[in-house]
Amino acid sequence: MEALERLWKCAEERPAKLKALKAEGMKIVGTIGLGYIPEELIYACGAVPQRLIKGGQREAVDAAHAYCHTAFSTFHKAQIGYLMGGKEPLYSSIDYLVVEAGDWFSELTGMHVYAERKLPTTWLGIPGNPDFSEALPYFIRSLEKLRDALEELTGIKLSDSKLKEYILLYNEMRSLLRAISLLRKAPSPPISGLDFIRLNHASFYCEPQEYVDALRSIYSEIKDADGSYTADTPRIAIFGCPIAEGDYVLPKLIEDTGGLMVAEELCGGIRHFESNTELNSNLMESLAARYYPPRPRDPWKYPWGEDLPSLYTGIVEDYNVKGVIWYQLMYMEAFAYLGYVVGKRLKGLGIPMMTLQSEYDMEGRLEATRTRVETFVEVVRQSGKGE
Amino acid sequence: MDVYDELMQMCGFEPGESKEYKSTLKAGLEKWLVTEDDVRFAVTERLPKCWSTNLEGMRKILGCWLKEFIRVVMPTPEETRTCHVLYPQPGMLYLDPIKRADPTIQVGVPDCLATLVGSAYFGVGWKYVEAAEREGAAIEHVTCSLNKARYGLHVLGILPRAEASLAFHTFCEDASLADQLIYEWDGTRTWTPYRVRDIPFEGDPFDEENIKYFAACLKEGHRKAEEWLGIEIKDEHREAAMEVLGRGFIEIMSPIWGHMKADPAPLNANDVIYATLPIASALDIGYDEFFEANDILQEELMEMVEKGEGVVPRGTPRVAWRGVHPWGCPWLIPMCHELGLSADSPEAFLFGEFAIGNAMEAVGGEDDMYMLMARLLALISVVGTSVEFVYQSTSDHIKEYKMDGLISSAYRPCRAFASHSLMLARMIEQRMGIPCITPDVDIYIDRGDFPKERMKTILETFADVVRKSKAKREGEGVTQ
Repeated sequence: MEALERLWKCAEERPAKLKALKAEGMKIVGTIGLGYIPEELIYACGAVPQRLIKGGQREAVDAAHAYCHTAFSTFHKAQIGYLMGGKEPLYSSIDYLVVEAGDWFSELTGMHVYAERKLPTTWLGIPGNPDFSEALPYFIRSLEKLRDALEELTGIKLSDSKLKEYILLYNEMRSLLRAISLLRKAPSPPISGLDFIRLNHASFYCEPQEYVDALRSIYSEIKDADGSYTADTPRIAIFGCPIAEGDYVLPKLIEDTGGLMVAEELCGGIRHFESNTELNSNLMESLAARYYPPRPRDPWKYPWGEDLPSLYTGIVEDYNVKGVIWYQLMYMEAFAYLGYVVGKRLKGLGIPMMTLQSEYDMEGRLEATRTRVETFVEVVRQSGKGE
Repeated sequence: MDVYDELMQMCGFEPGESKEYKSTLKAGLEKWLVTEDDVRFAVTERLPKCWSTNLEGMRKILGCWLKEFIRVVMPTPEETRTCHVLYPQPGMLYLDPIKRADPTIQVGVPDCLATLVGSAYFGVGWKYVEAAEREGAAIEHVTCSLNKARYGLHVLGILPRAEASLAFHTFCEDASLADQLIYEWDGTRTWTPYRVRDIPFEGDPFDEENIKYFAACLKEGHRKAEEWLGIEIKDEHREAAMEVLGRGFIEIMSPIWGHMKADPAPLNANDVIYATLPIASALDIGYDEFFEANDILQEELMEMVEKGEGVVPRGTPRVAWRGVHPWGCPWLIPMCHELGLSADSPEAFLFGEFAIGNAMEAVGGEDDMYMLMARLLALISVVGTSVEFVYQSTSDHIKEYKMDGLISSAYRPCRAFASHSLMLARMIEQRMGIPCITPDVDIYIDRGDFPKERMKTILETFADVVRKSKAKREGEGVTQ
């Protein structure tokens, strides 16, 4: 697909693009978190958002150990490593950081980086108890503070018309991603799981209009197409910790060993596309309602009750998933706890689940991991034979 | 006299009291999975070596902890419902009004007791932690043993399903996570008072909007407790709890902090924690006995300070433990003494961030209990205060108590402690020239994963550095 190739190229050229934008006087705003920071707002304030989501490289994790404790989330250590190492042009181009103060890792990543690099930072306040009546108003105020900080950074006053323009653009982006994702419900999907994740990740690296244009082409090209999967291909989902851009060992292994990855729930490791921003007279409130829903999908919002585990079992049912691999990054313990609860629910549904742990060291033990994945895919295949 | 009698003697029980209490003690210890051998370990190894059991007041304070430990698993016949809270602070302010609203509700801080007594006295904390790990809690030092112990107590049936559990995300992310597993296990309902951790690195920890939200969350927790427990918490209950806290500050914390400025200091760091924490904890046994024990202790301390007596010789280099003092491994304190370091100096977290001056400034005439709690808690590093504020309060503490070194716990599973410790240690070394280490040690449960020999090597080297640094500063006429 030509459009897909265009997006891969766009992602590849992102560092050079940011450099050029900086040269034009644009401010590059790095964001770290689980998806609570509205990029629409950053664009509308005249800056360029850059989600910091690269990972999978052990060197970045090792580089972070000079600044933070070993027992810190693998994904976030990588972000510290890239931000402090000075070797990643994309990370070196960041002028300003926005980190989510909703999970401790993102908040503390901001602290570690500030302690060493004094990079101007906003810690975006995200309350942990979304069902509390004061929580959403607090988040609205957090967004307003962010808006003020961005306006000061760029010297541009936010206008409703600009914000609305970006909200509509991002709504279209999410609608298209959702439509493409839903194609994976088909018995033989026209897009592989790995390609879908990469496509999703490309949204963090391309200009939104360019990205939406490419998505339109891709969707129209594949919406009526069939994939090349047979009826007995094991349908696998990856759940758990964020899969970073570049950390593709696991989805690749699933597909290399004959599995079909049809769904994923990766918290901050994916652009969430299920819901859009509903416009009302106060656009900041509209954004807040979209980005801080009553039951956010991360394990740092309490209580989980039945709602959070149901998110996962719902995906299993919707996408006809037959086996789940729980991707567990080292020291992201919230996911280990959630994995235990979700695993119990899946067991009740007769869905096998395997946990794979990584500290971005999977490539170093590729054969052993391949054997485990291969065996799991085969177990799922065999368990589906009687159906 | 058997080991149970010895234990009670070492914990300041009067002879008549021991006789009457012995059967309750034995039954309670059995529930906590404490064997006779564990009690023997406590009376021969732990208590006499790690606390100043030569002081009557200290013995009685240890006894208060022991009685509360037993009470949690042996409620009175009237106590038919349970409300728990995580960790001591601010359990007292939070749970005491609930107890006052209805004395038939058992209030408690079980995780704290499992570690401060179960682990520290008897070395059995690992039993609770391993039970939790068998049922989904992440293994080893990926997650916090304090919270794993709490969950483990439910798994083992040591604790019943609680009608309400109010865990503080503000202190600990793992607390809220453990709560989700406890809910999964037995349906214990929980509420998580939440401080949003959006204070910038150099920001104002008392940001009004942030504090107000935190206070509102705390208030909501009481509203939930009212609903779940069928009680009404009135102003008089809140006022009475605030009065006890105020009395604790004035009658206990302030004088002890004062005495600990002496050289040599009259108590060791283990003593200080056990003597001061109860006023932040919820005590089912009430506070009277604890205040009485402290009165005795204060008199003993006054006499020691007057005579120039202390745990180590005068002039010994002083270090403070920062972060949570390692009560799970109380043997670290005598180990420091053996290496020629005075670890009897105050703990920086409690005496620095939470120093009386800071506390008074923070609450300054606040009469709303929830705002007062929120403002008090905002002083503490793990609650999301600014790193710069932590530096200021720690450096004030170092100067005030003439510290020669800082041991800043970097407890692996606690991201906030470990992160702040590392940042702070760098700031203290760079800005003040005071040597710091950030040892990775389990501050709650001693499972033997942090071997004594390794810790000894680390502390030995650190002791050398501290001695040289102190000599150099004295040679240059530099005082803190």
